[in-house]
Amino acid sequence: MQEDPQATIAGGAEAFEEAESSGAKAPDARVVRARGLGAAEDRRGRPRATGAAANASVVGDAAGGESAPVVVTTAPRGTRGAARKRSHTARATKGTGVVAGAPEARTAVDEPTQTSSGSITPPGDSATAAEAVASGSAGAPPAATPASPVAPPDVALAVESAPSGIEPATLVGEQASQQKTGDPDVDTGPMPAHSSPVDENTGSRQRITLFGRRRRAAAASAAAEAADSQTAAEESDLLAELVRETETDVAIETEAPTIAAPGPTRTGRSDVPDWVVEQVYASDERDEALASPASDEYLVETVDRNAFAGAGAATASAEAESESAHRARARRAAETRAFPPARPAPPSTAPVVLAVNGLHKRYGDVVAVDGVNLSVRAGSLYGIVGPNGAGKTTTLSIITGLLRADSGSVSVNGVDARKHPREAKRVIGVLPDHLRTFDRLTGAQLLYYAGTLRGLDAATTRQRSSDLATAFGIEDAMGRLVADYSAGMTKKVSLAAAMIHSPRLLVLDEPFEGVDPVSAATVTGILQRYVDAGGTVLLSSHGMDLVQRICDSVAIIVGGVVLDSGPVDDVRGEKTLEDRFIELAGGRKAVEGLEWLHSFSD
Amino acid sequence: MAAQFLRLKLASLGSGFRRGGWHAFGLVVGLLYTAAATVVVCWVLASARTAADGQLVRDILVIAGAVAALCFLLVPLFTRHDGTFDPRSYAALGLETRQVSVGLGVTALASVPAVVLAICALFTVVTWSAYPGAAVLAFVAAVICVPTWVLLGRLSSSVAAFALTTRRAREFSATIAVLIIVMLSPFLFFLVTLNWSRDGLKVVHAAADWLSWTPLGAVWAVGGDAADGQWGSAVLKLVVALATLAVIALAWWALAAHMMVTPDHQVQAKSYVGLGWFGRMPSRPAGVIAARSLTYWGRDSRYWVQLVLVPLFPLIMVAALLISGAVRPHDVALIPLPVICLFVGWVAHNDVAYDGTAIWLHIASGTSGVADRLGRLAPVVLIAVPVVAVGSILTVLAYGSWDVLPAVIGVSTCLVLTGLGLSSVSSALAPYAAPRPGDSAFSHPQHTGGSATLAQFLSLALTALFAGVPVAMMVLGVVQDPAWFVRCLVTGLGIGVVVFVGGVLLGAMAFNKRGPEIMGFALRNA
Repeated sequence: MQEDPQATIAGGAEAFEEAESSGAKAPDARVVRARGLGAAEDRRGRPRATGAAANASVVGDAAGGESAPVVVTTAPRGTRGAARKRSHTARATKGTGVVAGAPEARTAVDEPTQTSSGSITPPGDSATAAEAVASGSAGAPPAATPASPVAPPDVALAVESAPSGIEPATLVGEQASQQKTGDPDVDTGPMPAHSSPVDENTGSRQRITLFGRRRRAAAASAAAEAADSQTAAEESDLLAELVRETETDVAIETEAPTIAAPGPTRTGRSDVPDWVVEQVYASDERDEALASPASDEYLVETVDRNAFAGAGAATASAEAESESAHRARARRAAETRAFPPARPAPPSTAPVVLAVNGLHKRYGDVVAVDGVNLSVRAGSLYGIVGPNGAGKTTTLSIITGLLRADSGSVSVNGVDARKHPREAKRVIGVLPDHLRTFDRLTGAQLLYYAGTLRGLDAATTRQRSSDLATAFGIEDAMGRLVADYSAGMTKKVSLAAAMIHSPRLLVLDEPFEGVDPVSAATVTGILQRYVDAGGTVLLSSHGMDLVQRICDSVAIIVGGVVLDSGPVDDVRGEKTLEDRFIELAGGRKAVEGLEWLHSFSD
Repeated sequence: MAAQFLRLKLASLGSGFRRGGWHAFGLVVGLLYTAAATVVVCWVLASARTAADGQLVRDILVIAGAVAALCFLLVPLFTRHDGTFDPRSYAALGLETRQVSVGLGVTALASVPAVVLAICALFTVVTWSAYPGAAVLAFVAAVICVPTWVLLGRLSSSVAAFALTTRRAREFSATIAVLIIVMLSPFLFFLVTLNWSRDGLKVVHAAADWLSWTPLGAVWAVGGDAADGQWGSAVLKLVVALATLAVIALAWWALAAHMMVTPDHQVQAKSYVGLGWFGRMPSRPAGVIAARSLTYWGRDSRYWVQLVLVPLFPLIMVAALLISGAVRPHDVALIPLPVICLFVGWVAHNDVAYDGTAIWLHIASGTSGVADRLGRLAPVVLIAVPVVAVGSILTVLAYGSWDVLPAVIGVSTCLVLTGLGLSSVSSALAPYAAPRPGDSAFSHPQHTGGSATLAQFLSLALTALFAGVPVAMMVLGVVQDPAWFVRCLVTGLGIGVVVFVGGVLLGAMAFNKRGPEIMGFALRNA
């Protein structure tokens, strides 16, 4: 951490690029111009990635425009800060150098690193890299999985500044790094005085705290390397914080250093099957004892967001014409990996519990539902997503018999809901949105009321009421008027009322709106168990993350029309559901004309 | 800033017309009606200039003015407040208290009642224009009175929005209102029984004298006292009026300042043990719907407030009949009970609308129409049985002959049953907008349109039509042959049961068929 003027790196300077996800097809490996002013030259001449890493591989980018293989070199494992890594390729565009440090620098802290997917992954988005590291160090199958081919510019940053395991955390917002770019003399050595290792904007606190030990160690070693080589000008503050935070881990880990066999690593820029992503995720999950799967998901997501931010920082200095492409790829790469696969949809042999055909409904001149078709199979947790006013509530209301469609048919459990509404209603449990409930009743009375209206006898109703109250955690409130409940509690008691007659199909309109995360987790658990037991849930939501996390199938409704439907993984493809949804719903709107918002009034 | 508030107010007033259709039409009619009433009042005030009895003019002016002031105080308490001109709406805008309280105070002047008040107040100057000095004082008084009462209305509506905002407080306000009405009834009785030709003037004069020293009436008495030559008392009353204005302005200022820094508060929730009515009623859909209705009648003032006015009608009718002498005093005893029964049976005619959108639960769970209809009638039946039983005996006692008992029972039972049957039909077939759940019982939805009047009129008229037969028999029994009394009982019971059963079945059919339509109605009025 001594000041080494040569080691200062200009923010976002080092970026290297990989082909896009389908690998070989795109020769658009790019070099992002370094903006590090003088620093870039230093780097070019003497690029190094050091650390306790056994395999320090350097990935350089071949000339932009051709799909050059990425060269990975491994360096013998050294002590912290001792191992030096030579960059085999130093690529300069427009007079700037590009150096990529190998992420493996951080991989094997205490174990010989194999040619694992992790070690090849360098350019891959940081999350994958981090996970690869984790899996590698944990002795996960060292199968030489081809590296994830997508290398957003931010990765270069990550690699360069060493700790690809941590760099997403260190990546600050675009603006911050740009500021630093403008100030190449940033003192990278001393740690900042403030103790929090968290950049609040990027939310990396979550990430750091969620780090598994190994990953942390890897990150730390990489960070140490960074410190050693005096790089990381732009992220220096955060990096330093991280280093400090993780140094203890490093110390522990390096006490029993394992000699890492320098092994050749292969670069896989070619075809990467989808399952790699999954496997990485899975192995990570297996490995990470410290992080529960749930928190892991969250972690990954955070990481990727950070990576995205980093990508933004890097691309800011990239050629203008390639910027948007970079961004898009970075996003896609990052976010495709961000989520585990959705629940498996029920097999096509499962009976169709709800079939909606050609539903039309108009209010005056406004067409609310314009030919909606849905087919929900037994055992499915089916999500309907759509923007405001898309016709979700209208569709659900028609299904539950609260509204009459102008045309179209609804068949519930094989019963035509129009011809035999009462038979159809009997098997449906309903949670409407924005409708009142009989809120002058106490919670107990409301559940009793709902149960008896559904034809249950008194004893059963009482029993189920108390069971549901316990399950939803509202037993203390059962004696109070529902009018005095909070919105979330009202939702829960309404949900309980919808379930009390153990319906075959639950139709829930925005079941998680206004529900706190803890209650939402409870509700999710109840719904998943219900579905596992053969029940069927049809819910609408604005929360894409939630839908792709808990639902197995999804329908995207926009303007009263189903634009896409099917298993979640099929619908979202390589994107997140949110991206897919926004794409279908008309794309992101560029916000312009709010310049005054950025010149503050005081 | 005040100008901006004013623009907002004008825009808000204008927005009423933008909704178009019947709403705009209703507004136009209302405005025309108000304008006509204002013209009449002004004409009266102007023509009073030449009245011989200046004392009487002053007395009436004081009483009428005090009543108007009372309206400015009370009416906002029972109406809906949308919060557009609530000081809390401006709390987040970083305005100073002074800007908000002055701005909203000035804004209050730009309203229909304020304009009407201002015009009428200015015409009191015309009333006393025969006496130049009095006219000057009257003008000063008019200038004082307009902001006073407008600000009082503003203050009162803010208090209602602020202090009476919780559900319990709203219900409490309904209770208070009922108490006021009950306390007013002796006063009304006093007014009704007063020998106006003999004591009227004296009573009016005494009341006006007393009122003229109260904040409510002082400002209206200034001109009259001055015209009467009582300059001292006129000036003193002017001082009272000024002090009233100062107090109200200060109170408004303080309230606005307080409201801007006070968010809504939560009341402590009461906890109930057990299932209440639900534990006592049979565990079937009709039973729980009955239990729910009974619970609501107990907990929700919107329901029982409907019944509060029921005893007033027969009271007024009896008084009118006694005074007019059209019916023998002896026979008048037969009138109150049927009138009460008519309204008791009619009270549930819009029951579905009182559920608001909560009716979805019945529709989504496929509740049978019969269960829904019967369950809803339970509270009314529970009220009607003792009313008929006790009422019949009291009627007979008042009438003085047990012969009439069968007819009284026949007529009242027929009225109740017919009313219930027709209510079953009308609440499923033609619900109209009612006060929403959680609103004050006295707040009425803005746009009821013609459907409300039609439903009310039809259900009442049909009840009267069906019950007309036994009523006619009872009249025949009284004037002709007591034998009609027993026939009246049989006919009344027969018609009542038939209409009741038919009505419930018809209503059930309508409810079963019209689930989505009822839901649509509820959503429109949500």
